[in-house]
Amino acid sequence: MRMKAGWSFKWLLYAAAGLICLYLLSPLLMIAVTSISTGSSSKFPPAGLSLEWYQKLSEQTQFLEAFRNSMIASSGATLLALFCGTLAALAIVQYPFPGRGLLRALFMSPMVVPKITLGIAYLILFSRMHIAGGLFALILGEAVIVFPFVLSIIGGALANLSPVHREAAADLGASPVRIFFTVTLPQLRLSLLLAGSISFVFTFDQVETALLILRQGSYTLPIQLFLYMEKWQDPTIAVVSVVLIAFALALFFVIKLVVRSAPGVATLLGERPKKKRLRRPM
Amino acid sequence: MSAKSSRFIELLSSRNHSWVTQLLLLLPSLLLMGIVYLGGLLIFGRYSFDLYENGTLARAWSSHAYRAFLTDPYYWTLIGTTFRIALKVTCWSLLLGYPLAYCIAGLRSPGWRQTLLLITFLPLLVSAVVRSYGWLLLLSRQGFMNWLFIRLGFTDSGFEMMYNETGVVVALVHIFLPFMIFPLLNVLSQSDPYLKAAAHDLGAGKWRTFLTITLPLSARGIASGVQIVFTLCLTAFTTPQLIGGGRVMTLPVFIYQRTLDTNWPMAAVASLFLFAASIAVSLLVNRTAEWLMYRRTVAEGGSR
Repeated sequence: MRMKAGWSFKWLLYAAAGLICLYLLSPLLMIAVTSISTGSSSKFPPAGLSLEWYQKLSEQTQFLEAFRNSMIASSGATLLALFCGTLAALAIVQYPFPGRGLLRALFMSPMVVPKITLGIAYLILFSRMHIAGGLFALILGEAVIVFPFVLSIIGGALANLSPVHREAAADLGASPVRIFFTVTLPQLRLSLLLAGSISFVFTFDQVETALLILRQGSYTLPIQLFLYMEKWQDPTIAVVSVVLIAFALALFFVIKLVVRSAPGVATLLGERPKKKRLRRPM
Repeated sequence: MSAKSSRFIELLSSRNHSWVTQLLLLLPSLLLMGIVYLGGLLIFGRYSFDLYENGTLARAWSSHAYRAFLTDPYYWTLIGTTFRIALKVTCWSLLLGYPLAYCIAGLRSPGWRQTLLLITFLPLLVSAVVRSYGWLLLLSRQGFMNWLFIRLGFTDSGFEMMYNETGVVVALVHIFLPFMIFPLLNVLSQSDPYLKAAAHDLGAGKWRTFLTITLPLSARGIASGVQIVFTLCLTAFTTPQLIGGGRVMTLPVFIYQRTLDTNWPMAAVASLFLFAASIAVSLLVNRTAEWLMYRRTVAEGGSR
């Protein structure tokens, strides 16, 4: 039996939740409204509604180019981090050696270093190495930033793998390399997918490092938006933003679909809050 | 068979080459982390001892930048602003995040649950630059909020909400709210529903049940949420730069500007301070939470 006090508590809670959701959605809604407004200033209420800014977007080739740069940098950094991280996790989890705790702490430490600090450290280092300004430098720098995610996810998965299959393969005479490719790697598929997508999304949105390292011509999408926004505030940004939000929503539903079709992913994503807590310093 | 003996077998199977295997496995990471990460930080650290005078950089071993940073009151107001904003944002995130997480955790309809989860997740998928732009549209002089306030008769000419702390705090809470909600949702959905039912049976109202059962049980979630949001806020750059427009000076914005003027020693010293501060805050929150929970356990044990 519910009491009257219970009801007022419940409705108060629902009202609060509704308002907080409104707060969470308001900037995105505002961007959507601005993107279909006429005129060059982002003023409310808009003078009129039209799709003119969507048409003008095709003339703004710098955003398309920036998107391409972002894709290259994020994929490169993700692949590099996955490659290094998987091998390192293998060494740390499956082949114990003295000092591996220390090494693990070093490998996890980029998580606690402020991004702006890393960005400036990269700027100085890469200028000295004469590779600053390009996407290659950015790939190296971002791989370091997402390396801890990969190491902890793959390391966790490796530690949870049952050794029975590997033992069986070893008993049958398979070499460690063969065991890795035929037994361990297939079992890591989902974790690799998870680590890869987290890394990709994370690097796609990096501002601090990219802003400091990159030069004109190799700007990534967030940087192009950032610099455009500092100079102009016309609805072009809103249009690009709407495209990005639509992209994010599509991604969300694709992930939902994958989760529904593969129960293994659901359990992995069920651990999501734990993954987030990894941001805590060691 | 135990994990230990399996490792033993593996060691045996590659007996002669075990250290070679390890080194080969670790080599790519050692190169990446050693050169790019450690190398970058060390060179950067070295610059903190250089001298910067009249716009030029001189190689030196001087503690000039350190002394300036610690003695000039300007830097202390900078540190004060950064911590004040982080504190405000953390409090607001907790205040807004808790009811939403509590509501989601208590929802029984999966449809509503997923909708609310999507609303919580969605901002996280959208770039911080895009979200800052959204807040710029809402908060600017000719933006939606001022239009609303004038319509409602709160003001005639509109409030200044951009380029000041209020705007930066409002936008930062939006950026970091999901990071508060995740750990809260985690502890709230794991807590035992029978405890609440038991409190209810014993005659406690909803508010009392919440204050004596739910809130203390979610302490761990609150601690990790606070820790994540506070440290992220201390080091946030994009939003303070865009919404603050250079007029709200926080440490990351200051560091960025010093880098642009090639005043690397000062940028390095401020960065080191920021780094130390975020580690100190994490440790402090952790220890406080542990201490509070320890005290609670002791108190409960004593009353039994």
